[in-house]
Amino acid sequence: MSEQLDFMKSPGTGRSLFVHTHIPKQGNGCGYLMLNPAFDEKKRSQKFQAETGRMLAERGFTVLRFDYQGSGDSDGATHTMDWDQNVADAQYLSRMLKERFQLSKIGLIGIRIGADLAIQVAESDAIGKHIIMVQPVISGKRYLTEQRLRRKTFQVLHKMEVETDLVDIDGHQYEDFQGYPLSNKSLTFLVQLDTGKTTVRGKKLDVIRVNEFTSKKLYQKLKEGLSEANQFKEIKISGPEFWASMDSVDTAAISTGILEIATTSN
Amino acid sequence: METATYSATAIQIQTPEARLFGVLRGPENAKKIVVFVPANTGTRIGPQRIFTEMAHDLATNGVASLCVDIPGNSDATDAQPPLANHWRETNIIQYRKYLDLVKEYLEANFRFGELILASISVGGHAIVEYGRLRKISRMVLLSPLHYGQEEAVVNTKNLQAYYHKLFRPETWQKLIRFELNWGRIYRNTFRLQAKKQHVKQMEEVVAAPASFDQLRLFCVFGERDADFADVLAYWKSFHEKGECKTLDCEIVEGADHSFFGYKFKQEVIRMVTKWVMEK
Repeated sequence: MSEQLDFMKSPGTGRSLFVHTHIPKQGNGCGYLMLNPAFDEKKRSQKFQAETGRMLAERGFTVLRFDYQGSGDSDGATHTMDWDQNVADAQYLSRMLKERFQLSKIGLIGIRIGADLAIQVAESDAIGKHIIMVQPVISGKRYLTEQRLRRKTFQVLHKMEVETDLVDIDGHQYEDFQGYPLSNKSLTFLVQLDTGKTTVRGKKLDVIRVNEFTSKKLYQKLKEGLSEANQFKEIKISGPEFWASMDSVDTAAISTGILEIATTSN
Repeated sequence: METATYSATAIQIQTPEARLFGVLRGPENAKKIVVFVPANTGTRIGPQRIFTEMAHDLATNGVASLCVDIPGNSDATDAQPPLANHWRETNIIQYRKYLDLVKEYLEANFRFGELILASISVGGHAIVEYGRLRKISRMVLLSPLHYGQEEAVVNTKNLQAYYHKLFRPETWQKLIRFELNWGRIYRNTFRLQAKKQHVKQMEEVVAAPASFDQLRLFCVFGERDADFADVLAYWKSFHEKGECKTLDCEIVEGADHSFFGYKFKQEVIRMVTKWVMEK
């Protein structure tokens, strides 16, 4: 198994996307594109993604991970991150992955909001028949509320006197999420995000729940919305919420779970 | 943050023991290169992407940088277990091994001028010890801890990690159903004594720090950091005892340990770029 790091130009903006590819010694003709979580969830998920990518590559899958524009090592100031562009870039990279490595099947693995974006990637693209969703956010409105509550709690605990969470960057207003400013467009995207109401059809969806206590109603709605037109399965795997943990945690069980799903699905 | 004005190269440093991944930014063979060293559970992009943004700012000012992962975390691989964040000697040895790989790679492949190390939190003292050993003068220390504090930091961090769980319905559901793991919560929050690993290489630990009197440190602290006053006093004392030649300190008003917040982050980036650019 080898690993390749590249910077690739996004056709949409011309900016460079940081791409990390796990290439198997002997491929099985199948590949997966990973979609990241947002904010510092991405940073805390990186080890899990690396380990999962390696595990899949050891079994013949070609795995491509990339950073959204304005995040990780990709180009773009943090406040320029655009969800619609992330979806477009993911579609481009899926096609590129298929062509470059001559793969017959491409799937998507989304982590947290990356899982919700994966559904949008697959909505308008033939690529991505199999989607593995790790603890999706499902409701953007709820996610925003959680992030705002988290921010407020942090400020209170640290006795920070914050007049406003709005920042002005180059004459435009952004809402700051602890170092991640979101534009009005990004906020609107999140408010409107409801993964249970997508139009994706004909896909195989495996939803991994690490935290089984997250709103049952939310997951029920997701299932109702997606199972009619897709093959939908919910899988519970006992493991840490690695995207929220400030310490290094053992995510082997989740990686193994993904490997099993990928192996039986292809 | 565009790369039109400078180059960015993804690199892999491969040895029999470890594989490190990083991004090199800035002009080739620049007169200065800053190596961003994560704290033990951190990644090469840093909290709120601060290392990446700092690297961009430096690159547009003609200073190269390398953001590279630490073994046992993020993308890096290592046969050794992950760094222990609660024992000074383990930290120093493991950072030393990792930084030697990075230094050798840079010396073998590039012709950079001055090497400057930068780290955050727990990484601070480790890079200072490394600088003493390998005679690297300039260091940027963001919210550096001190030895006595490192053993306690895991408690504070774990407590912080729990705070947001109080506002989640599932936490209360678990509580009602008697499914909370109180043992683990207690151990994580009120750990009284850090575990000590027996490592054979402990004998190699610098019992007396290597002698090097040219250390020039730049420390940035968040005013709302929990132990701000103690830590500032510690590093001032470090300088007064002659452990470093110069000590420049900056305080970001209103900021926490990791400078979370767009405005705080921009202020730190501005301060660091200014100091690095100085002769």
